[in-house]
Amino acid sequence: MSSKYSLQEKLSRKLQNSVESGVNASFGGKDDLSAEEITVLDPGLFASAGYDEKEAERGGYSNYSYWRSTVRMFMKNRMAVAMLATMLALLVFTFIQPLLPNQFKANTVNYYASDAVWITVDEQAKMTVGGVKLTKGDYPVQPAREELIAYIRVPESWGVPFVSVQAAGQEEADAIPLEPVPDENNEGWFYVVVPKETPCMVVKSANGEKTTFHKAAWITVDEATRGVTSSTVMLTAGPIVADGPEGTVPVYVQTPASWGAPKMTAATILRGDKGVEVQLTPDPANEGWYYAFVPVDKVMLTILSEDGSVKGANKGVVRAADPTEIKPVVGFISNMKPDDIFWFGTNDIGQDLWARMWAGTRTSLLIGIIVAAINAFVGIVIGLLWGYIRKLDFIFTELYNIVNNIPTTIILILASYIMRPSIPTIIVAMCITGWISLARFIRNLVIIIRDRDFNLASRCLGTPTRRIVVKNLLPQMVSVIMLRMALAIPGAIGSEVFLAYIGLGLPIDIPSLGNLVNKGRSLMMAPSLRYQLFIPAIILSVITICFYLVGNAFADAADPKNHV
Amino acid sequence: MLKYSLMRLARSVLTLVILITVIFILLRQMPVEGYFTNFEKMSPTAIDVGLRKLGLKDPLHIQIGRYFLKLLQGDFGVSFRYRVNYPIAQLIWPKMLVSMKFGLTSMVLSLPLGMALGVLMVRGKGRLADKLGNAYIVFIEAVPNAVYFIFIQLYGSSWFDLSILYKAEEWTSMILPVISLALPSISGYAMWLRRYMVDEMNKDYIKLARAKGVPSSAIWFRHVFRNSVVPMVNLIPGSLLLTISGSIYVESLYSVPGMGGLLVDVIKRQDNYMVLALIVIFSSLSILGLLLGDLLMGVVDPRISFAKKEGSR
Repeated sequence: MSSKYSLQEKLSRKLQNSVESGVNASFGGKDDLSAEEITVLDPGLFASAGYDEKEAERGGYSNYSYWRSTVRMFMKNRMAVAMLATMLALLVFTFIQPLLPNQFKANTVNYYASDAVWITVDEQAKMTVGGVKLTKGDYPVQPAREELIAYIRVPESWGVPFVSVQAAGQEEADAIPLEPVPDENNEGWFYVVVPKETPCMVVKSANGEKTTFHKAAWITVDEATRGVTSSTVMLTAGPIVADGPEGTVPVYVQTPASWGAPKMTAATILRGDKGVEVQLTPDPANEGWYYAFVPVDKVMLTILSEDGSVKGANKGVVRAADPTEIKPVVGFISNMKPDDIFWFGTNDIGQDLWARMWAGTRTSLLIGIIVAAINAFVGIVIGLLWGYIRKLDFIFTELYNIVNNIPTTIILILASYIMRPSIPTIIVAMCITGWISLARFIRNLVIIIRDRDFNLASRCLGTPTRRIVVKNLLPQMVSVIMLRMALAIPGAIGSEVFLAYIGLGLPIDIPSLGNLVNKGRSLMMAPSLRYQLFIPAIILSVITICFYLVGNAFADAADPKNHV
Repeated sequence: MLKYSLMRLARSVLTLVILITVIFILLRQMPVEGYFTNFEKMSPTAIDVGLRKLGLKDPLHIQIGRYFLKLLQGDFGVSFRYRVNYPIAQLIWPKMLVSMKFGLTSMVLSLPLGMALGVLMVRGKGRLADKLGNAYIVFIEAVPNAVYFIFIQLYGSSWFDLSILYKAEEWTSMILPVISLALPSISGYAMWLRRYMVDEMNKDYIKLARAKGVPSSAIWFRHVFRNSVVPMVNLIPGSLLLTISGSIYVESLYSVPGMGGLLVDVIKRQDNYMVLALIVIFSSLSILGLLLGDLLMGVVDPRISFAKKEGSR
């Protein structure tokens, strides 16, 4: 029994008939496939063609790559690239800073070195005594118990200075000259070894024209703040006024012109002492200055204007008694202004602000990045579920209404009650409710995109939900998600500042930008200490602005609409 | 519209009830020693008596029930730590007025200024005005406001010889706090208005109007501006009502006796009824603000209607 058709023809006829009639049509008899013929057929012919993910996704033959275009667009924005470079440099620097030479530890309290003093003489012959250990190597000589090393730096024009020392109260003529030795380790510095029984020092320039010697107290009263500044430099144009009575110190006073002829009272340091009025005489040699002889035991000076309505407010700053002695300063190196040792100065307990600054930047960035990452992850996942699964919408919306109204402060206080105040506590407290706004945002986006035609098509084709979410929804949102992420980092840094401000921040031994700004804020009324506010405020602003601009630029670049 | 509003209000009441319950329970987790000033020196009996007096020894559901009952009668209870046994309503009312005075002044200042800045930036898009405005917005948005508030206080007071703290009898002492409050909201209004206007400008009907020869000023004000203002209108009642809550930074910097730091303060002192009262006030205001905003949007833009099913627009 044979058919006029070959096997191949039989197959195609059967297929055609089946398609036309819609059923598995049988031809009956010899024209249908016989059992033997079926066994011969390749089973591969009847397997489904399979689904090639790559081929299915291919939308054409362009070489468009989303991320490459994003990067290219980003690179076009010069400003953002510069900011990104700044940001990365800052980030890298915060980590290599502790490894640099000559760094202090952030929490170390610095004390003055007790067996050396550093004396700087400036162009106005003003002498300042510091006590920081500055020498790069060891001390050039080991001072004996009753000796002190004095490092001296004078203006270059002075040449090698003449240095002489004398006991307190002695005449200058009896001074013992010392030979200053240039210090090998510290360029521009000389050192001398001073016996402790002769602690008063005179420094003269090489040609002998300029002298700095503490003999009189010079007091200036500032008009605006009525603050009193005093110095103990020999500044007079003429000779110092005639020696006063025994046991007195000459004091020069300058007050604002509007004050008229000032009056001055001197009191002992005992509390409640009204003091005695001291006669002020205009100094002929220095215009605008008055001089007086103040008893050595009455050093608390109050300066009043002629009518007595205003007075110099800083009582007792003038230690007129014996301003000549050079003593090592003891205690914390507190509130030192920025100089070549402490690059950003020190705070009130002598911690190096430069080190604290970078440690604080590290902490704040760490908090910012972790909080942003956690919030982004949780927010995206929940937002997608919330938007895509209709049944969850009501529950999540109610949850949102409630959580959104619970003040963060309550959560923070509870968190800090359960855990100790620390970095994890802050992170947990910021994350507990932080994800909710991002989730809400994502949800709104999902609802907009969810029922677009391409998603309906995907659903009709039977694409699994997970795939629709990951491949259809997420890429649409990359740009906004990136934007929110980038803004979340400065946001978290800002909330850390806020927490420190309301007193719920990190403990003081974990430096953070919030701590530092807050500390600086408490000192802002003292103009000379404002560097402690300015420096962290500027760094904080630079960091947040960088993140903000880079985030914005990246979001613009990541938006496919701009990839033309 | 009425039905819609009532429905929303009913749902908000439900939310509010759940919220209060949650916060009530959270507050009960606070440590006991926070309720007394001299906890270390007290004997266990004294503590017990003290807690009983505050009603903290009863089962939780009775405590909550009692609170709701009082709340329904319009009674916020008395403060027991912030100011002992002083009625909360009387305590909060004067503070609210102070905060509102500052908030409203700064809003009156910032709304027109912010809108003007936004319009100016769009009109000169890509030019100097836009760039300067953008720099301002970036600065305000990115830098934590604690930082620039401090500088405003520091230099504002010394350069212009203004009082560094708020004094009720001197109106000039309000200038700096109001400026501090206004700066961020000006930037917010300008930013959003600019964004909405740019979106609106790129729409087809504007191109048509231009092609038709409608004068530029008419396009700007009759079409672009009016359409862009609609989403902004949504925010106005909310921010108007929330001026009551004050600003923590500004009020503490200038020591304004307002609502600003009150919430943080009473939470720290564990004055539970004060906390609850403040939360009830703030959250009802924010819910009401949202509702009013939506309704106002319907008034301003006739295309928006809430009578139909939600989402049909």
